Amino acid sequence: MKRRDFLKLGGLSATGSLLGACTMPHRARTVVPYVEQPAESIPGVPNTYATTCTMCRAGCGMLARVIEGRAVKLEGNPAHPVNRGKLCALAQASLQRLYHPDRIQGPLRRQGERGNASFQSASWEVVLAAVGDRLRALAGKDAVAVLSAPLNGTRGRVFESFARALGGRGPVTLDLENEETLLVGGLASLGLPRLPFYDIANARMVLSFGADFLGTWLSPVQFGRFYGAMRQDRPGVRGTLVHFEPRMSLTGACADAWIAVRPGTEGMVALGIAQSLMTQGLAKPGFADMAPSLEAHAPERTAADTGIQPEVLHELARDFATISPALALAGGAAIAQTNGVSVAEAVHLLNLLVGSAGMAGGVMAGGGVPVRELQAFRPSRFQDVQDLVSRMRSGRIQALLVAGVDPSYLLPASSGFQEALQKVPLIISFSSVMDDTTTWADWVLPDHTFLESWGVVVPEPGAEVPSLGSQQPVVSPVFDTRPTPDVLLSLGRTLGPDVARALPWGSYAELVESTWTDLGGAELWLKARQEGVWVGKASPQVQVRPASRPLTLPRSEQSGDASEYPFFFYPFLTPNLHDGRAADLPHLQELPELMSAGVWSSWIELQVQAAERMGLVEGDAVELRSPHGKLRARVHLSPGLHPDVIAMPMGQGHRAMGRYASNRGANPLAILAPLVVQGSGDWAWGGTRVRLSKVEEAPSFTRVERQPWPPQKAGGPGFLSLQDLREQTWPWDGRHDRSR
Amino acid sequence: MRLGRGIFAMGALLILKGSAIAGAGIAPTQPIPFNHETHVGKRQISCVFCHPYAAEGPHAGIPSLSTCADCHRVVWPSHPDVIKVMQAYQNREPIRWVRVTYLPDFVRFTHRRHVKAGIACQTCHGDLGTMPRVYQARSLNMGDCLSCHRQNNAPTDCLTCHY
Repeated sequence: MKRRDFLKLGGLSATGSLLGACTMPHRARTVVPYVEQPAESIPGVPNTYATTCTMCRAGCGMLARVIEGRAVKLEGNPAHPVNRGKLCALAQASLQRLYHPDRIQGPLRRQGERGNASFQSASWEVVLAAVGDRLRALAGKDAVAVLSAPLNGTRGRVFESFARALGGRGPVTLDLENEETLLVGGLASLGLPRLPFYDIANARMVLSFGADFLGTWLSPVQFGRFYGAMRQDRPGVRGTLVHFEPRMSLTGACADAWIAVRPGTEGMVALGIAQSLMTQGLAKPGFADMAPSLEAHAPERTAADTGIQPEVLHELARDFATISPALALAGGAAIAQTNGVSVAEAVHLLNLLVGSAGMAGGVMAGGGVPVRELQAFRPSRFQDVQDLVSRMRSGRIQALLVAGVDPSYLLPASSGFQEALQKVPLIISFSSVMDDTTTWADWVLPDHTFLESWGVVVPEPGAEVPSLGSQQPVVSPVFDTRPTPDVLLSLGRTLGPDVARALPWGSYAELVESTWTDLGGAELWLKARQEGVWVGKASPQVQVRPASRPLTLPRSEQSGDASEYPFFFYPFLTPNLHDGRAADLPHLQELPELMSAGVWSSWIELQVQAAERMGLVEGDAVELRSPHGKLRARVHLSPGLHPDVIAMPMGQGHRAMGRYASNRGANPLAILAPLVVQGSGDWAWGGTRVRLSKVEEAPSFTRVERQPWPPQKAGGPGFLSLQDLREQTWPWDGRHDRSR
Repeated sequence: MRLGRGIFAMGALLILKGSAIAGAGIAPTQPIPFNHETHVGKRQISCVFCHPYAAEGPHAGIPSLSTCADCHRVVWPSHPDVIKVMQAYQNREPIRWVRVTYLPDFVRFTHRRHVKAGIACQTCHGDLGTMPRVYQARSLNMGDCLSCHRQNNAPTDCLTCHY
């Protein structure tokens, strides 16, 4: 080979390897190792930590997959008896709050006018000192109130102790589940000491009144499992589900029969079935003395009110008595009426009449909780909230602490909360996001998300066996936030000897550890963290003691006269947005509502023929008016709705909640009446009437389906499908196939 | 002709200067001139002493500063480069090493599998005990990997490395 060629070849090979090197992207050029070698994690190999979800009160067990200190995926914990490895949309999306761009990253102090304020960052030392000074002057004077989500587990224990020591009363809790109504109804009719356990998995017939248990009610993951077992676990047995609800929810769609019932008449329907059972001689013996009081509720007599043909109820009664085991349950808007307790009792009567109270496949007493201190929390009633509002308005409340709940959003305008809030000199929020209430706060002491927190969680209503969920941090705290129970403990120590005595724990983690070690020693403390849950043995069934007494069913009162407000208003929870608590998570905004396919918006649903009578088409802008407020939204026509009902999803309409939820849609809770459930004091949020009028403008309504119901004529105004949205607003670079 | 010689000259210059481009044969300049020849060749320190994750997971990785500090808090602390490392450790400032061995994103390589199969580190990474400055000893292109896989009866299915 000539030298020239040799040199050329040498040059080529050098160039060749250079060319190979040039394909390494710039971002791969640098390798940056740890400063301190982490003890627990191997780069690229995930660790899984067991914890418990607290997005709702079901308390499902959760496994978090963590890679190099970052949580990347949440899954259900197969060992937890409530959810056995499954998770709902709220839980799956909760990871987004951990790294949310709008998360409050450290303590804040208000600058400027309330409501319009800018917030300035402050250090924990400064904030705790300032807040501590203010609270110290108010300790023991019944001048400090705590507003929170329903109390649970060790967190509830700290909140309760703090609130009582400082303000003389426990926290006021806010929730739409109306648990008190369920408890009072269950106690009165069945003698149940706690929320009943519905053994749907072993039932062969389920009658559900208003409880969307597959979608949103109480513990949907658990009920979903039970439902699957009912349908598929027993060879040859499919089970029957009949669902009464004004709107076809997920449960209605899964049911063998969905019966649109006029809101407020569910109790009449239940008693109609009960009366039919008695007259057909199908009821268990021992209830003959109830026959006279049931006469008034014979299906023929109540057909005009309920709108249901008597024969339907007679046939249901026959099935309910002959298909065994059968169980009936009530919840949701059916008990959020002024007669809600009576409705719950009426539905429990059905269980008594067919003998499914206290039996497998029927209504049972759920597994309790073996730790007395964790059981003691009774949810507040709406009357307690109203009482708090009047104390705030009168100036008795000098400081309000808000944690885990957004009262400015959840409470209706008619409650007067927002005006009363202005009278409180000191408002402290512990929220992780700048939500409606927090924009009015003076100080923000942001909580950890539950993925960064310790806790012992009591599942509600819980599984068939007693269980306790273990909650542990799966990542180091991402920002400069502090767990609220710890903040309360450290504040409490500075507020005088009485308060300090009520909070005898050095830290919240210490309380959590001692809760486990008291129950089962150091072995249980380790096991609970490893497995995420403690499961007890099935306790002997609490004897269900029926109270057979004459049942009175008062009519449900509605707010608004039928002549002025012709429609019943039906605000409904959705499996993704729930009551708005997670509207800031874009995964949940992106998830279509199951029946209407609506995303990123709110809307009102009108039954198809009712809309035609009013001359409304899909997408029309309307104003909805109740006796207590008004809102604007666009119309969605639905065949799955009672014609006298206007339904609207809850969850949107936040004035503030981060970039994904702020100023989006409208909040149906704002226009509701402050009605109260007799006998329990809960909020009868199902009892408001409304009227409708067409307007020019309303927030847009987006669906992921093109075809509205009925099929749209020539592009209705304001109706925007996701396809339209993509084409109008997102620039395409030409590479996407637009031929679909 | 002139062009060819020009390219050769530039290539040679780049190799000789040891620029910060990596690739087979190139030994880039590192922020700290860590010398494998002294640590591995002379002191006979085992690879997995500093790179423990090679036997545990997909990435062998570069040792953390705490690994260096564990010895160098007492070993030759007056050496100027040791001083730089210990200061970085105290300031919690990681060293930003220049990558020598690079595989593109569409290749999934797991160190653990290969180490557990008994393949010596030197097989792919070269005889580091003779390298004062690390360079990529083999081309590590697909043919290179396949030749070894074929010789050792390891799977050569596409999905083995591309998934």
